[in-house]
Amino acid sequence: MPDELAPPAALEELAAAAMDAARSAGATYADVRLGERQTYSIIQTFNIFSPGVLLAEYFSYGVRVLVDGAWAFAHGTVPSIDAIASTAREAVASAQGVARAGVATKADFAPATTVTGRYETPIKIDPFVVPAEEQLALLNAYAATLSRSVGSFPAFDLAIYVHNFRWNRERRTIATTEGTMVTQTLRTGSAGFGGGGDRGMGITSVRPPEIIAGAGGYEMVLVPGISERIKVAAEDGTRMARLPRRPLPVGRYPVVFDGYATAKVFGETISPALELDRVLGEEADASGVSLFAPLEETLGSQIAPTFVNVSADRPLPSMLGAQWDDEGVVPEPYAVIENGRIVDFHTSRCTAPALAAWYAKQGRPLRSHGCSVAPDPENPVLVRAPHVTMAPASSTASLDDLCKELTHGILVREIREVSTDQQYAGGQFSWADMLEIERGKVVRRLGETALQFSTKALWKSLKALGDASTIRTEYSRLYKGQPWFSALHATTAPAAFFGGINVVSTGRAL
Amino acid sequence: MSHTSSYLSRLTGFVPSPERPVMTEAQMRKLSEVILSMTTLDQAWITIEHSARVVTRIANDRVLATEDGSTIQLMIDVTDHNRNGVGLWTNQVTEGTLRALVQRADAMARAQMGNDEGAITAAPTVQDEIKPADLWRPATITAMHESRNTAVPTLIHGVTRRGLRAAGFVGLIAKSQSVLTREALHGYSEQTDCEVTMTARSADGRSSGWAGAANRDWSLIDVASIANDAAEMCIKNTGAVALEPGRRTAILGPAAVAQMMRYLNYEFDAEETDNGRTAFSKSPAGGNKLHQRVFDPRITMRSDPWDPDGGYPSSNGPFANPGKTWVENGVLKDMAYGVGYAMTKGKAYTSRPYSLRIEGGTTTLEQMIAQCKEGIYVNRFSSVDMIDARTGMMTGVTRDGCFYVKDGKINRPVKNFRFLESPFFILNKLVAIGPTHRAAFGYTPPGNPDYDPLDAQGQLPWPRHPMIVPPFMVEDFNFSALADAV
Repeated sequence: MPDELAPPAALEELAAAAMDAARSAGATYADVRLGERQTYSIIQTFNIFSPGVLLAEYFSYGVRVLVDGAWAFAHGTVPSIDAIASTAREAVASAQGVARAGVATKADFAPATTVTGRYETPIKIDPFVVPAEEQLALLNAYAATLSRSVGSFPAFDLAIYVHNFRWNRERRTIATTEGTMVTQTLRTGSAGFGGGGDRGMGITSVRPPEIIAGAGGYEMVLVPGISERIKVAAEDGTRMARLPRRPLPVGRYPVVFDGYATAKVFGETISPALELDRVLGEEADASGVSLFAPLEETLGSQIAPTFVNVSADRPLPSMLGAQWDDEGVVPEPYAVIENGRIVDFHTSRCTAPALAAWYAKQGRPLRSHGCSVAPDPENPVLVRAPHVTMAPASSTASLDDLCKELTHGILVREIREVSTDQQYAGGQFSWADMLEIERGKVVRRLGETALQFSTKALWKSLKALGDASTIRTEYSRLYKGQPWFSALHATTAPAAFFGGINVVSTGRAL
Repeated sequence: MSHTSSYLSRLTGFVPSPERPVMTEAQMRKLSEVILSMTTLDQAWITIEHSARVVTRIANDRVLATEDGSTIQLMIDVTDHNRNGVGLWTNQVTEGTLRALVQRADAMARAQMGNDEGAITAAPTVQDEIKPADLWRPATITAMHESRNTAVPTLIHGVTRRGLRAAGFVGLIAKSQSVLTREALHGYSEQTDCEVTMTARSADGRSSGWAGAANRDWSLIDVASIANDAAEMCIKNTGAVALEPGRRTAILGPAAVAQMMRYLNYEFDAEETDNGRTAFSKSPAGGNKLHQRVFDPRITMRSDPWDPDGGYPSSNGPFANPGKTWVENGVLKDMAYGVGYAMTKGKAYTSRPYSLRIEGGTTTLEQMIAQCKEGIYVNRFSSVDMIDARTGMMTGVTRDGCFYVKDGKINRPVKNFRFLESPFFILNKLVAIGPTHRAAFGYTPPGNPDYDPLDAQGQLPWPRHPMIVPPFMVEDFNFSALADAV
């Protein structure tokens, strides 16, 4: 396991040197992210060339400067005062070049309270000191439960299964020339089991949802009940895999999503489309512009039925939790959809000024919601949706209750991948557990079938949401920027009943 | 521009300079040998990647951001007597950090359970005489320091003077990579690359055009043409109307072809194919279609490290990765054998064809349009995802230029479509094939990690390997739905 993380004081000294250098070189504003990230992964795989244990240790920094209205960013990996100060000066020189060329951007910048402090995720057992052999033994015990529960069902190819524990600890200092100097140490972990098999029978994987994915220590994989959850998921997956399978005739069908499916589709369409930098066109040559552009036509517009309410936050402790974002802003909870209307966007200090008039009209202060994220310090900051939560129905509506409404329709239980477009204006998914329902009962699995939707039409066709018992959390890695970087997104949502979604066939013989 | 630790400089003599921003082969070998000497285990290999890049992003007619810097990545894999291995990744090159990490990895490797069933370095692999491909262009290195102040204003003004909004990307990179194993298997490559893309959009956001170029050599990129082509495409795209989706003749520009054909790398994998998981499989139960006709007899697909329009490193890790002809006159001639599968099958290792040249015709885009009675011209796609590797079925959306062609002419711009198609159908219903060029990808992140080579940090590194492809004219292309996105 790696050494302890560098002490906060050492990181803060480097950060201060970078800010001094940027200021001295002529920056009107500068900020820096620097820090160390360590990962410790225990991987049980039958792929013969994957290591059983993976240790990673990275240190990097990125300095962003504003000079004469021009932004520039430079990054490095050498942890010395000379190197980071030189990087800051290079960023200033780049910005001066852009300013001289007369192509600098308009540099509005929302005010932020200057903050200082330190934060560390509380943990009970540090996974970085639990020996690999002990972790591997526990991992194998959970894997054995999965194998026993799957039994000898022939569709499952256990040889391509991968089981893992992944532990991360990261200490990051964020400083600005305005006086912010904060250091946070975030510890997260996840455990994954399963994989997939396709022996001409369609996707028949047993993939229990990640049994843990959160902020904390080794105690997360020791909580009682994990084996039982694996067993239930495996038995359920096996039962579903035994169902007869057919492609559904092309047409339009009512569809029920379980909580995972609702979270996945919302989290990969509406939620990233609410990132304000996309709406403002900053991703036009990259991941694209949002379907919610232009801003003035979208604010306050009805995009879903009135019973849809969605909020956003980076609560501590959680997978996406942070005491400060990568501009040193304290994240705040905020509503993005109220009674089906768009009322706000995911913002950073650089983008929030576009909402100044909207906030003024409502008597709210102009500030960033704290959505600036640099996956690693050496990456530029971009706006990323925080953890987004859709409120469940207040009246009783279990998943079974929603399915009972289907005379002939589809239950989507889990979606592995949604293919969207350059504005999140529509999408399609086929790699999912899709079940045909007749008179409220599951009768078949669907194969060679994809659901295609227009984002606005889909959410307007929403008939009902499930109650709190149907709430699930789903994670996605979404790409953005150029060169592209992925960042983790999280969405919590209840089950949902949609009036009609188009079914298309993906099956064709070669 | 880049910085390096004093330990690295002392050890290898590397001092970053404008002419040489990344380590040389000798410097990387020296560092690898020192790290190898730190581990006592019988099996070890050291991978080093060093890159320096200069990036400018443009949005809303201005420079949105610049990004300059260098990155070093060390990957150390150690294994003790064929037990499960320990992998160690770091970007910290100091003696203390490296020694401590390696010692820890050694201890963990010795405590490992299980059986790795034969570590790579024990394999009877063939290391051919590797003639390193020449992928380094001094003009690109020089431009890393000058391009921003000259090319960027040209790009922006080339679009804004037409009354359009400019967004774009200018990226230049220098990169060296090395592998050294305990058995002294060694591989090294160095390369430069650059890509320029430009999106022109109308002020109301209802019309969009895109153009781009990628080349190892900056001096061969015509920045003014890229801006002009993007602006022209946007202007022509104004007033797009909705056209009924369905099966139509499609004329696919090189960027659109590259975005689909990049997924063929997975399809050529011998192990996946023999296990029934690709479109080259004989059946879901397995087997392959080697020596059978799989595509239009005009189609030839090759990979060549020395390809004058792109190329790629002639070694992958410590293994030779020579040129291959995958498909000749439509017949499947060869497949890619990963190290483990190559050992099992008694074949030489070959990387999947991440870089591919597809040839078969000389019909220009203009000639394709002229001979098209009715069809759709597609400039490029967005968000192309493989949805079934066994048929090669993909979905995606047209982007930045989509036109209705009627009686040999561009008739009018049309709204974007979602498609549902496979290269395995497209390449069997070709009407015409154009001359090949290296296509710029623009923003093309991975769809499914199975099909794209992610780096050690789980990211797909920019730039992508070169795809050298023609435009295609195809019958019965499945435009499956209208797409709202612009």
